[in-house]
This record gives sequence, C-alpha cells and structure tokens, in this order.
Amino acid sequence: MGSSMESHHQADRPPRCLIAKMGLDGHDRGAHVISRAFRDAGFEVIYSGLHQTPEEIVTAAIEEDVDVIGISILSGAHNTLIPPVLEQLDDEGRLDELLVILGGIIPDADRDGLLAAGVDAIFGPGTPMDQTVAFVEESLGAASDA
Amino acid sequence: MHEDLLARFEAGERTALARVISIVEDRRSGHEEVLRWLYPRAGTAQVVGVTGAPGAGKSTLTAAVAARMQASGRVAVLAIDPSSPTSGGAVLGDRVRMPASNVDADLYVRSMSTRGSQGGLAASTGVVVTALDAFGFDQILIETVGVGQSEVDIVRSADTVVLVTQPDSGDDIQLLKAGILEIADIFVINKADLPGADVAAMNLQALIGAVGADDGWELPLCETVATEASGVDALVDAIRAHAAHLDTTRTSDERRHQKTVSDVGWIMASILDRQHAQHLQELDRDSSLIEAIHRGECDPYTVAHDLIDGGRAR
Repeated sequence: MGSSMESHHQADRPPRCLIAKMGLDGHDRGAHVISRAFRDAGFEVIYSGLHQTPEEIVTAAIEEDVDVIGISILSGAHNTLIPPVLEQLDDEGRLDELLVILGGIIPDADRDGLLAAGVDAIFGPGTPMDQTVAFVEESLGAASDA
Repeated sequence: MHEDLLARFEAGERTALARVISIVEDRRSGHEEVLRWLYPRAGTAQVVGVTGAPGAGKSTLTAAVAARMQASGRVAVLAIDPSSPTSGGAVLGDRVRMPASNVDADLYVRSMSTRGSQGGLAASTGVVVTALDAFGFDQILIETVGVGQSEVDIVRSADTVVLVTQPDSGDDIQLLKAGILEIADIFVINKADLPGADVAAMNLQALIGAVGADDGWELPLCETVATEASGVDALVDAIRAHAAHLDTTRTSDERRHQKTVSDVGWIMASILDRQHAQHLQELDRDSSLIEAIHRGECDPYTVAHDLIDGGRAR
C-alpha cells in the first residue's frame, strides 16, 4: 500500500473505483452511500451489485481498469471472501497497483490479518465519509506523484 | 512507447485491453500512437447500439442479448451512464444487470461515463469501440445513456440501432417528433407483459409503417420481457438479419468509403475539441486580450477567429 503502490492513476482524468458487495450479504445501503460520496468527490464509481463472487469482483476490477476497490461487507464472512480476491488480483499482477479498502463490520481481531494479506485500509461503522474519500485521494495522489 | 502493452494486447491479455481502453479514453500520453496501431486491426465487428428512455430496460435487455450472443461469438458490452454536471463524478450501475463473467470468458463489460458529453454517448465512444474491435470481439453492444427525444449520436457509432421502449411511455405524439424514431433499425417494446403492451405495440407498429422501410429493410418490432429473457431470441435474430441486410444492400466499397469518412470525421472532431480547449485556456490567461474587448478595441468575433488562425488579436 501507500508508497509501494504503483498506481496508473493520472490526475487529468476522474479516478475509477469499484464498489462491491460479496456473498450472501444483502444489505447495500452503506455501499450506496459510499458510492455517492465518491461520485460527489468526482470519482467514476462502478457499482457491482449484490452477491458477487471473488472471481466476479476481480474480473470487474480488471475489465473496468479501476484504481480502487471498495468492498462493503457486513456478513462476517470477510476471512473467507476477501483473501481469494487478494490472491486472484495478485495472480493477475494487479494487487500492487490497486488500492483495496474494506468497509462494514470487521472485528478488531481480524484486522491485522486482512491488512497483512494486502488490504490497504479498513473503515468501520461511524467512519465519516469524508475521511474514507480523503484517504483514497491521498493514496492515489501519492502514488501518481511517485 | 506502449510496445509491451500492445504486445500483450495482441496476445489476447484482458488486462492489456483494459489498460489500452483507459489510454484512449483518457487521451493519455501516447494515445494517438496506440490508436494508429489499433486502427488497421479493427473493422470486423458488428456494432449494435441499444438506446431508449431511462428505465425502459436497456441494461437488462443488453445483458440478455449479450448472454445469447456469447454462445456463438465473443461479445463486448460498452455501457454508458451520465456524469455529474457538478462534480464530474458518476455512478456507473449498468454492470449490476450483466451476466456473471470471468477474465477468460467470451464476454467483456466496460462501463463509461459521458464525462460531460451530450447526445447519449461519451466523446471517446468511437475510440473505445476501435480498441474492442481490434481485440477481436465479434459483436460490440453499446448501451447509451437513457435518452429522450433527440440524443441520436449512437447512429454514428453503430451499424445497427435498437430502440427500446416500454408500454405507457407516453402518447404516440412523443414518437412522432423528430429524432429518435428515425434512427432505429429495430424496435423493441420491453416489459411486454405489462398492461397496455398490446395498445403500445399497435401504436408503434402504425408509426413504423408510416416511417416505412429504408433501402428495403422492413423495420421489425420485437416484444420482450428482458427480466425473463422472453422474446430475446427473436431480437437477436433481428440484429443478425440486419447485419446480413447491410452486407447485401451496401457494396463493401460504399461502406468502406462511408466508414472512412466518418472515422476521419471523428478524429478531426477530437483534434478540434482539444484545440478549442487550448484556445480557451490561452484566452483565459491573456487578460490584456479580454480587457481590449471590454474597452471596445476589438470584438469577440475577431478574437475567436484570430485564436483559431493562430494570430494574436489586437
């Protein structure tokens, strides 16, 4: 993450962001709200829809050539669903140049493992939208300046 | 400068296609060289435009058509949604309706924002289609922004235009107005299971009859229920029939001629667009020029001509 990220994001175009929902989790209000926040910050937000598999998310991220993947997960299945996304991104050579952020309910005990596996940041309930958007903007900015 | 990327593109790597699309869409450095390389490799795909009012079911229908076409060829979907006039951002939601896919599948879906363009398409639609065509897709489906009456840019980008309507979408006077009705090659009444579909079909059929056949093509009317994929086979057949019709009625020389004129046309348009933006920046920075207009020493018409001709108005 951060300084090691080789983003292809260039300042003269809107950054692209995939907002995704995975597995059996059917609660997408949070995903809609964060989609709007990124839209209002000038991002092109691709919304995946519900019930995506890790493979579908990786396919969408590659086909859409996004700079950021934001996964909203409230089901508690993050330790099952997130690592395959990271592994497949790595297989396609895209993990290092993408920012992967998680939102939703992730217990403290699980955070370090996910961050070590390649997640760049985790935003829990109550995180102000501005803070999430600012983190992404700073990370992309730092990467494109590098 | 993008040799490695283009080699991977030629080898059929989807990550390379995705990046090439970004380069031409964003006009990043080297985009013109990339387009020069792509151009001779394109020209074989059938490009189908799917247009119609917001909520008529374009995405769902496009997804159903793509799923059918996938059985007999490689299909790309280019789904366009509007950008925000205030932030420039966009929520691109068409992917939600698309069939499940993976990186090796014969289906590629790309979402685009209009980035401020009017007319139902993004300004870079043409170059993105060139990239998809060069990659080897047999069919390219372009789903436009939800359009009203006169957003008819799709006709310049597509070989075949499908107009999607729904029952109760307004009285037939709406369709009598100039614009959208005249550019369609195939008409669809989607949500044909809703009450009023029969009447809508009757009205639309009467209008189609009045429009009449263009160079021998009998305008078909398909009734579909996209959510159940019902009527989609007939629509796919109509799309294929239109491709065959184009092959038989227009000689290949004539089509190549028209296509080349239109290709050079949009390349010129994009060069002029860029120059226009540069001239505006020049003017914005040159307050002496603006003050000269304010003092009445020269007029904006002279300044506009001088900027375009490369001279300095004084």
